[in-house]
Amino acid sequence: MNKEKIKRLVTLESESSWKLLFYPGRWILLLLTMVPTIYAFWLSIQNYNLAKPTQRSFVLLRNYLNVVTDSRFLGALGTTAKFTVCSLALELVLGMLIAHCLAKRIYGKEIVQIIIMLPMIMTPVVVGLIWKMFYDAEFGVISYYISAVTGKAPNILGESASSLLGLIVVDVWEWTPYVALILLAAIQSLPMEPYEAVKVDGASAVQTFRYLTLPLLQPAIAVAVMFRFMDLFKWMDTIYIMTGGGPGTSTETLSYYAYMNNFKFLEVGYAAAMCIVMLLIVLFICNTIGKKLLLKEES
Amino acid sequence: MGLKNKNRITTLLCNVFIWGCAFLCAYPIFWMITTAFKDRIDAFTVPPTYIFSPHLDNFRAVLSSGNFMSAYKNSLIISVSTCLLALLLGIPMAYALARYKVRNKQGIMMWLLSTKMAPAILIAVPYYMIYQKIGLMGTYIGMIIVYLIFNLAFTVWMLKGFIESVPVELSEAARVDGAARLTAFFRVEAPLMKGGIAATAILCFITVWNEFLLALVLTSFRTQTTPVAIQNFISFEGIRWGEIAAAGVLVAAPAVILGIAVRKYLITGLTMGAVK
Repeated sequence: MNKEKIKRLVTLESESSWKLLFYPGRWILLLLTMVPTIYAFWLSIQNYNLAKPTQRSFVLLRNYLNVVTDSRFLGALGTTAKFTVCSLALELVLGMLIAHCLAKRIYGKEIVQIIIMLPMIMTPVVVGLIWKMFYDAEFGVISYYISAVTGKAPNILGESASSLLGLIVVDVWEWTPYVALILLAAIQSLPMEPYEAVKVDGASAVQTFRYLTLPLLQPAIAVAVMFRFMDLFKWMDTIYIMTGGGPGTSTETLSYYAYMNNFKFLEVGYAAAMCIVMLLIVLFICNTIGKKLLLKEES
Repeated sequence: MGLKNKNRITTLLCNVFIWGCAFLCAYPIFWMITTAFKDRIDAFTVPPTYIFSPHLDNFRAVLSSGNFMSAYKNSLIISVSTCLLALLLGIPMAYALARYKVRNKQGIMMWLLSTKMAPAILIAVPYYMIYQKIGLMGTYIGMIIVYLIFNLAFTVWMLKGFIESVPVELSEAARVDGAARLTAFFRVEAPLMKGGIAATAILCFITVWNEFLLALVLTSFRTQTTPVAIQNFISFEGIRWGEIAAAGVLVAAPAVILGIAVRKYLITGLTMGAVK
């Protein structure tokens, strides 16, 4: 009887076999995520600098207070927000345009789609290096063509006025295709009937887009926005390669500032507090937007 | 007649626009590849030249530096191991979520998603301290563990979708014929979702292959991966663009080739199955 039960369990015939399948992975993942989170929290309530281990002390929530009043942290928050909003807006508009065109008859469509995919599957560090060379004030291709027009070679990444713009261009280059392909998938599955009805009613192209296409594409737009937002929020590879947060702190984002605190200033406790704050932001966004968007079919 | 002409013009404009975009996407990559084959004088010519005699010195220099070759090996070991481990744990988890009555399925899926969404810096800070204490700093196992966090959740989300797309009746038919559910999975369902499993594995591989921040802070000189090694070219060698470009080609090539191979699944994968 007992043997029979075990056999049913192992051959997955039993109702509760899922535990056997699910629990090993779950416990491993839980362990790998909970332990560091708890440990980070433990660090975040301490004044702990790796260079001064003897001065380690508990400060409770002081680090958190310092984080939310730290002007450099707030600056990084602002940079992250600016970068996220600008990149996202450009990627959505351009992506929508590209997706609509791709849905039409295009010569060599298969090849075009592969070419357009290249930026987003490239290794991000390599993307950063290519553009760093492009922007180089002396030998860069972009600086050359700009100077051919204006007569003066700009130092795009070296000026705090233009460095963030330079990084936004790179992100738009790298990720607009992603947004475009998400929207293209949605456009190709749009129903035909409403369009025929609207055509009979004599709606203009702009009206059709505004009142029919846009609402129908809304779920796909939301998915694109959420996934891009998540990436932009934690973005730092390209900054590390291209500007190192500079000049000054003009391109320093939240992730990069936390990185600097932990690995350059060795303020482990402070960096951990910053990480916990970021985690709360991500969890909040995940639970509000993410739940609505991604689990519709499940409920 | 007016309408037909208008349509023709729209199509033409769309073609021009799309091929323009394709050109913009391709140009930086094309430029990197040509720079990799230029000698130092051609690489620094202003305006950039497109006619030059190609040679392989840059690739020779990159490949003969033992550092880069060992980084390539490290990247391969870490990426492949992470993939296999993620599949080993992820396939059973996905199967359980797709085929059984599991309590609070929604909550579990959201929890998995949140582990994938966490900024890498959140993992980097505590793991850096923990690894130094327990001696996993700069080891392959340490890297595989942190990459598993991101990729296990992704694997489960992807595979759950693929398992659900196989009609449950097929495995039920096999079970009526006397096969156990486990046998039915290997005989009926697994062969039908081979493509999906392969695509998941490849996307997992690309993610790990391209990852930079965790590799930067958690690997040592001996276990560093290619994205870290290539970035060292700047600091150690000054600006040898030709060599950086050649190294860039070698680093990006596996990701790009595999990415093109699974392009049908790319968007599904990058949106955790939200877009089919």
